[in-house]
Amino acid sequence: MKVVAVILTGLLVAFVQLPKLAGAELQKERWAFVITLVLGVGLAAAVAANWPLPQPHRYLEMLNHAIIRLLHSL
Amino acid sequence: MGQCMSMSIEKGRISKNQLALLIANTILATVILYTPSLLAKEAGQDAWVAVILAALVGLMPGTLLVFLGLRFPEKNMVEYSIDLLGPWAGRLVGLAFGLALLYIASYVVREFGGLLVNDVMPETPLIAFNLVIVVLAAYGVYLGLETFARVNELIFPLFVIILLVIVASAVPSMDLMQLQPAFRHALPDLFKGALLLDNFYFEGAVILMLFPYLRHPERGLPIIYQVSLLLFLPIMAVVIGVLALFGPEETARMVFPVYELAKTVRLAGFLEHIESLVVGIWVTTASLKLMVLYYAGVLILAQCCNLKDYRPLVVPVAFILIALSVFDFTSSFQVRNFLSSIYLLTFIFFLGIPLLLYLVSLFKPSLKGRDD
Repeated sequence: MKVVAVILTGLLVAFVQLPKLAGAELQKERWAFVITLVLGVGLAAAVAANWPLPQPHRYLEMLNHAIIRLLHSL
Repeated sequence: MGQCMSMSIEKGRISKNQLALLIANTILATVILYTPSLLAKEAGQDAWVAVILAALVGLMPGTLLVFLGLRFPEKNMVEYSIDLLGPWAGRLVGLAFGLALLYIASYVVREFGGLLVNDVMPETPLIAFNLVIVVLAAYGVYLGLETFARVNELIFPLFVIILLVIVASAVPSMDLMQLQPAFRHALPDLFKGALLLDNFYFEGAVILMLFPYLRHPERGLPIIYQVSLLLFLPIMAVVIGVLALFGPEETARMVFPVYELAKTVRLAGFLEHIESLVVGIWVTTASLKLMVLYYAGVLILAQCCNLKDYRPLVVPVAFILIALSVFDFTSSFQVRNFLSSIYLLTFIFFLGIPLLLYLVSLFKPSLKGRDD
């Protein structure tokens, strides 16, 4: 249900925004909009579906510790 | 090179004071909530010394950021990184900076939802709060820099005044002996505390994206001193207030000490529960902080993709922010721990990148102020 709500919201946003970006000079803006929207809606739908997504902060912490170890070794 | 597009993307112009207040709010909104407990953990009753050290240490990178902005007064960070490092490396550096800002924006959303769910409305789902603040911020970003800079000009002074009044109201319950014995912690501990605070100060690097939109960017140098003063007084007042009220051990265990401080206030025997006031002002300032980071993030994305306008990216990025704010952290305690351990990466993104650009600009003096 939540996933459907997220996807419907994404479609609604696309329906409202895309006609505004229909001009030939806005081709790049249209593609950027579509790609980011697909990414965003996909991510939000995955969260709504409780998919086990990797938590970015854990990787950032690991990277942080790796840099600290590197500095210590120097 | 044809990449100079900020003039067409952002039409609004802000004053020096508006920029100083925006940067001060961007830093203070998070600092006030989390750092008293982080500082108490590192520096105990000497946390106030760490605040002074942080202010002194923070002036150096702050000056670097403003000097970098002054070298390219007509351009924002993405534009001159493209000029200095070439189109690919420049865009890559810009993108790293932009993604870091958007990531911070996502945990600001999480902090916002976390405070409200933990302490105010525990039965409301987190997503409801996150959705509300992101929609509000998206609207602000859509309206542009000038709009939220003006709102911030009204809100930020009110935020500082209310904060100081709340701390002053708790004075009768405070015991300044809790700050004794002074200077008990070694200098490295104090510096660690100061660096923790500077970690938040470095979020002020967002200034690199806002500098060219000043009415007179060449007169921007005093901003760093204005911001330092605007930050020092409220942070010092809150840290001393919290330590004198709860003591260093108890403060270190708390997640939101300012909120706990406000809970203890009871004025004239009838005025109590002013913690709602803390939530009220924090909701406003967190929204404005989110707007600044969100705006700079989408502006960078738009410039890296050579777009004519950043607005098509505002709503799609809102989905990403909401999703990231929900799945990245499982609790406010996790956010606090993350903030206390991640300072090295913050240094790299918000100090390393500007330092690299500044050094390169010294070796390429011909690019200074060049107008494409």
